[in-house]
Amino acid sequence: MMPFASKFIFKNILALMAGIFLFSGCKEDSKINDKVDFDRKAMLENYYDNIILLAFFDFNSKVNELKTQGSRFINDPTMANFEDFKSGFAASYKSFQKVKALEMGPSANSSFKANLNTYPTDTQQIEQNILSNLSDLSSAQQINAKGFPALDFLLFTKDLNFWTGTQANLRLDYLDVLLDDISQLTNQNFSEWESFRQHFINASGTDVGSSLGQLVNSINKDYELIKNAKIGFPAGKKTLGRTYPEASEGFYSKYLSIELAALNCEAIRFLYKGISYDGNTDGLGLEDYLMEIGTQSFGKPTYQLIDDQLREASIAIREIPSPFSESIEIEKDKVNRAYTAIQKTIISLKTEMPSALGILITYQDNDGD
Amino acid sequence: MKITKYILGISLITMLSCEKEEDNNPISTTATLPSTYNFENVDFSGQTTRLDMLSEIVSYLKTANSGSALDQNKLEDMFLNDGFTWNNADLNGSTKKLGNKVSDDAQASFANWFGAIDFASKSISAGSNGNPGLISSNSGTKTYLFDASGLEHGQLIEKGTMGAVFYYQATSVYFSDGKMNVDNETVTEGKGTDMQHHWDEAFGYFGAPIDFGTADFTYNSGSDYDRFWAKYANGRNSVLNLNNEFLKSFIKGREAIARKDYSDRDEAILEIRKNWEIISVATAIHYLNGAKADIADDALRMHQLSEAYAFIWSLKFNPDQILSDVEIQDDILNTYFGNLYTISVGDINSVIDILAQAYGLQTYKDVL
Repeated sequence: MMPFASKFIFKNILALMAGIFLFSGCKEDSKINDKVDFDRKAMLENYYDNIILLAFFDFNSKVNELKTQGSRFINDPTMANFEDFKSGFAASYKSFQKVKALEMGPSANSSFKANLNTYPTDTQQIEQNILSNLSDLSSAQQINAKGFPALDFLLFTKDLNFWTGTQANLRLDYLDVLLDDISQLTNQNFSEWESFRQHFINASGTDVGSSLGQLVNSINKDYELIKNAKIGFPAGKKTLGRTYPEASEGFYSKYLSIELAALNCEAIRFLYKGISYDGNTDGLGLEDYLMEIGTQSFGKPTYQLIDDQLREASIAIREIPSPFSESIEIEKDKVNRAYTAIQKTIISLKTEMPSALGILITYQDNDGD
Repeated sequence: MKITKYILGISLITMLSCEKEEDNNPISTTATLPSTYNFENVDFSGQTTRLDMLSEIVSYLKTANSGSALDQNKLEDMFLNDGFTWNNADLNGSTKKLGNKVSDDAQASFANWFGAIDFASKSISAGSNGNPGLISSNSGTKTYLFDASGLEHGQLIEKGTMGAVFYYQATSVYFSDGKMNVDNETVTEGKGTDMQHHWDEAFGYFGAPIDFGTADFTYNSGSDYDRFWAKYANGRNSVLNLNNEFLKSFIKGREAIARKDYSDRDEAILEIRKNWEIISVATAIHYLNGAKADIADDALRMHQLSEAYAFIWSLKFNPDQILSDVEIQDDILNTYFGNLYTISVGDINSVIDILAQAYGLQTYKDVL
C-alpha cells in the first residue's frame, strides 16, 4: 500500500499544486449548505471506512471464491462442481448489487459496471467467441459477451453434457476467459479502492469533482438503471407496452432477477442513510446531511421523504413474484406498482436532494448533439 | 521536457486561477478595463458569417443521421461558398468562405472527410464493424452515421473546422506578427485600426457574447452564441471556470492595443492561446469519459470518441501547442483510434492519461 500511495503522491503532486492555485484566489460565495453545522469529512470517512471499502472487499472475496469454484469445474466438470459454481455465481452477483451504485473513482475509471454487467448478453457473440477460442475480452465489442450476464447464460441454459461432450474444451476455455476477465477487473478495482481513502476523504467539497458530488451522481445514475434497465425496459415501459422479458437481468437463471433488483435498491437506501455494510450501525450519511439542512419537499422533511420512498420501492420490488420474466406478463399490477414506486423517488433523489446539498447532477450532461 | 510541460501547465492554471475581480491595485499606467467586450469600432461580421456557414453545413451533415445521402460536391460548394444557395439568406450575398481559411496542413483532411461521409451516407446497410452505416443508441433515441471503423465524419468536419479554421485563424493567424505587427494609428470608422480589427476578428472566431462569464451573465442554451467554441468553453466552465478568463484576456488585449502597450497585448495572446488549447483538450477528455460511461453502447461510445478525436486533432493548430503534431497524430490518434468498434477501456484511459499529463489536468481528468 505504501509504495503505491507514495507513487501516487509523487506523480500527482504537481497537478495537486496546480489545483491549489486554481482555487486559492477564489472565495466562493458561501452557500446555505456551508452555513449548517455538518462535518462532511466525517461523513466521507463513514462512507469509506464502514461502507465502501467493506462492500468492495466482500465483492472481491465473492469473486475470488467464484473463480475458485469455476476453475474446479473447468478442471473437473461434475454435477457437484457445477452446482457449486452456480451458487458462487449467485453469491457474487448479489454482492455486486451492493457496489454497483459506487461507479466513481477507480470504478468509473475501469467502466466497472459496464464490463461486469451489460445485459441482455449477446448469445450469438458468445457462441462465436467459443468457436474462435477468443482469449481477449477487452474490446468494446465484447462487452455484451462477458461478465455476469454471459455466465448467467452459460450456466443456466446448458446442462452438464454441454461441458463434457464434443467441443467441451473450447467451451471450458471460454468459461476460463470469462472468469479471468471478471476477477482481474475486480481485483484491480479493489486494490485501487484500497489506496483511495485519502483522495476520497480529502475531496470534501460539494463541487463537481468532490466525493459527495460524485457519490450523489453515481447513486442517481444507478438508481435510474433499476428503473429503466432492470424493470422498465423488460416490462415494456420504454417501448409502448411491448415487453422484452429476455432483456431482464438474470433472465436465464430466472429466480435471481427480483432479488438482484431489491438488493440494489436496498443498498442504495443504506448508502443514502450511511448505514454500515454489516447493517449494524447507522452512521453519518446523506440523510443526516439533509436533516441538518432542513429542507422540506412535498410537505415532508426531504430527508424523511427520500428514506420512505426508497423503502417503499424496495418493498414493492420484493412483492413482484419470481421469475420476473414471467411476472412481466402475469403480474402486471405488481410490476407497475414497483415501477411507479421507483419512479416516484427519482424526483426527490435527483432534484430535491442535489439542490438542497448544492450538488450538480452532471451525468446526463450530453451536449445535445 | 516533461518538467517544462508541467510548469507550463501550472503557470497556465495559475493565470486562470481566479474568476473574481482582482484589480484592487490598479497600476497607474493601466487603464481600468471594461467588464464587457464593449469598445468602439468593433466589427467581426466576417467571422460571424463563417460561423453561420458552419452552422448550416452542420445541419446538412446531420441529415445523414436520419438516412439522407450526402453529396461531397455540395459540401465542397458550401465550404467554398461556391454557387451554393444558403437557407440563411443573409449568407447569399457574402463573399466570405470557410475553405480559404483552412490551415494548409488540414486541406487534405477535409477533402478526405467529405468523401468519407458521402460514401458512408450511401451505405445500404446498418453500420457494423467493417461496414459504414447508421447505428442507433441502445435506448433508440440517437442515431449517427459511422464509417467502417466507427468514426463519425460529421463530427470531424464540424469540430475539425472549429480547429483548423476558427482556432487556427485566431491563435495562429490573427495573433501572428503578420497580423499584429500592423498599423495601429489610422482609425477606419466602424473597424478601428488594422491591429484593433485583427484583434476583434480573433474574438469573433471565439464566438462568445461580449459579457461572456461576467457576474450578470447567464448562459442561454439555444441562443445565437450557443455553438462552437463558446459552447464548449461553457460546457467545461463548471470545472475550469474559463468563460470569464477568455473574455478578460480579449478585453485586456483590446484595451492594451488602444494604449499601444504591446507587452500587455502579447501577454493576453499567450493567455488566450493557452486557455483555448485547454478547452479543446478538456473537451476531448470530457468526451472520452463519456465514451467510457457509455462503453456498452456502440452509437454513443463511437459518437463521443469521434468528438474526442476531432478535439484532439484540433490541438495541432495553435502555435504554442504543447503536444507536437507527431504526438497528436501518431502517438494518440493513429495508435488508439484505429477502430472504435474494438477500442478498449484501457485504450481510452491511455489517451486520457497522455492528455491529462501533458496539459496538467490530472486533478480534473475524472470530472471533466
